[in-house]
Amino acid sequence: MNLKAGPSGGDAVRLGAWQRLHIATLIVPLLASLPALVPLIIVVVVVSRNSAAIFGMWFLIPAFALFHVLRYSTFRYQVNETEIIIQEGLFWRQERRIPVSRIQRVEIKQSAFHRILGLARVEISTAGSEEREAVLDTVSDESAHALKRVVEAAQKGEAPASEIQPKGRATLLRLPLRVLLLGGVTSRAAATFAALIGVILYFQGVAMLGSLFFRGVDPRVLDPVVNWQKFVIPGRGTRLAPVIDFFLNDTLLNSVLLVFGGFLLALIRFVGRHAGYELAQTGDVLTKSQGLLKRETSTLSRGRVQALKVEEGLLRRWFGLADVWIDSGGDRSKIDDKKKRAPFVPVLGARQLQELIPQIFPQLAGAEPSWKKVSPKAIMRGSKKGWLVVLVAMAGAVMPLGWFAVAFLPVFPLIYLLNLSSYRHTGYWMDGNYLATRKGWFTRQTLYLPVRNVQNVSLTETPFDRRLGLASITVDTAGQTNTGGGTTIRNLPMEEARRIQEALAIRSGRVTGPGLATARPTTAAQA
Amino acid sequence: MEPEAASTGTEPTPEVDVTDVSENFEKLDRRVLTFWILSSVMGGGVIVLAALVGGALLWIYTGFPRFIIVGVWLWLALTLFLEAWWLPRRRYEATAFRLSPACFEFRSGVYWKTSVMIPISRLQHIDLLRGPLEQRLGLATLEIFTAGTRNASHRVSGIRADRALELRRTMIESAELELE
Repeated sequence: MNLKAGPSGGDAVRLGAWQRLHIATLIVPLLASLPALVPLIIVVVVVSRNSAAIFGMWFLIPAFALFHVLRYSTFRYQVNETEIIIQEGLFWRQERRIPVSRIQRVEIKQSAFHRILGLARVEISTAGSEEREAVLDTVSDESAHALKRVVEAAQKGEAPASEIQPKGRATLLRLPLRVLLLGGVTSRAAATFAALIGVILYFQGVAMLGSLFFRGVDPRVLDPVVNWQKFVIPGRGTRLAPVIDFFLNDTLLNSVLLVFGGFLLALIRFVGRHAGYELAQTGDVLTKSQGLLKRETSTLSRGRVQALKVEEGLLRRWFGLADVWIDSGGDRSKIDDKKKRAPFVPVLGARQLQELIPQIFPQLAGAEPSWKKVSPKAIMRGSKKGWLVVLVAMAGAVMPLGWFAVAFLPVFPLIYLLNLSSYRHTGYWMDGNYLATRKGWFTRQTLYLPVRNVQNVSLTETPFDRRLGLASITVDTAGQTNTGGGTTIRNLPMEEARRIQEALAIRSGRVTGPGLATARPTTAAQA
Repeated sequence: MEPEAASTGTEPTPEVDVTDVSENFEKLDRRVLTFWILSSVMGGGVIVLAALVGGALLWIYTGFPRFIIVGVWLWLALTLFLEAWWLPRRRYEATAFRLSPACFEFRSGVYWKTSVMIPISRLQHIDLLRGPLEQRLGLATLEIFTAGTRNASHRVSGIRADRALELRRTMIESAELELE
């Protein structure tokens, strides 16, 4: 037993000895859940004035406290060179053994609260688990980092021996404030708010200009443009109208200010979250730390990177910026949960990007992808699909709009141009070790995938494909949490698709590496 | 093209010939036709029965337009015929698999054709499933798992039971060899 006395006292991880969580575990969760409890308490005490409810609350708090005491006293863990053992539970005692070699990622999270008290929360993920394999909440700062070091030490020298990296710690990437600010301005949330300001101003401007310039025009045509609120907000023209007017017209300035506040908040959140971003490398282990108030540190063995995606949004591309996402194979449950995706690098410049990629995929160094295009039949195919949609919309619009449905006509060449541009920006590239695909013009996505991580390759041929002699290839890899799914290359000529499929499947089977092949028996390892 | 074959010390696995497609492929057991027909008849039987009874009641007791009743019956009969007679045959022709030293390949789909290739060394585990009907017919379903995300597992149903067992053993054994 290794009970710690002071809030910041206690020694680091003692190898092979049972340890408890930090004594602060008794209070920290209570304090952390206070903000969430406050409204509840207010509701119970002020609003209901119901003695039963108050009694219930007095019952709840001790139950809550008891729960934490029991959890604390029944939870213990042990770290040694080969595994982490965790025992927990009062009635159903459970022992979990996590071999260090199976650990995909160790994350240390510190809220502002944790940092003041010198505490941390440790999250450990493996490949087999649906969620976090283990969470140590809360341990002291030192124990957390010591545990991370133990795992790092055990994983060192695991990846292919092709690297000529110094043994010491090297900083790969730092984000200066200028880049962070630019990244915040171009982040999705901030851009949304900026667009909202634009929309408000635009429509107000149109409303004002419209009344000046379009006096002679049929008012029915301009009605949707000038009185747009009527169409957007169903309450217009009812008893709610004065209220809506107040918020939309009379306090235009206020609404712009409100949205601007949202923009600023998004910016501050972005910068705060990623402030002091640092990516460092020790041997094969990558360590990322970031955050101003809530500091997060996560480690990941380079050999465990399943896929890397570079995303360049329209705004970011203007500034020459991009963001990087990677899959580690650590968590599988959240494939479609976009909220839980976290970027590996929130924002970085083009040159930094070029230096970073070979650091993560060493064999990609010097190999500039020469992109191969898919079949040019893709252009007409996509256009026809879009035209059909517009045609249907146009037919539907003939009734209410009459001749004004002609306004749809410029959309047709536009759709063709969009498909042409999409075709030009879609491509793939493959060598003995990597597969890369890219697509998109508005937001450009480039995905790099070590061939050894390919789990299976499927080729699909729809009836429409067959008429054109095309097929699509889908490459499945493990743990696509952050890159958002297996890469699919559409509109490939049939022969080419077959060749790619065979090549990928056979090569993947042949190249051995520390991909997921070594992460096999996790489930079996759980006691 | 082949730097990795040299770098890994293991014996390079023989290349799968891309050109011949149909010859190396193995078809499912013929009895799978019976299985498919029976399953679709059992599945559709309830609906057909309900339609027959309901239609008959309408025919006798109400003035419901009879051509609609007959139309629905005919349409159901056609669907059932296609589903139970025509489609299984097409499906049988379209489904095939092959096991090479490097990977397992499975092709299926009448209209939406797919072909999946699973490298043997990427196998996680293989399940053998046999429903009551499959047991009667001596068939089995193989479910092959990889560590992938969206297409992690693949089912091949309608293989002769002993062949399925043999396939599983072969695959597991070669996967273990790869690990060493």
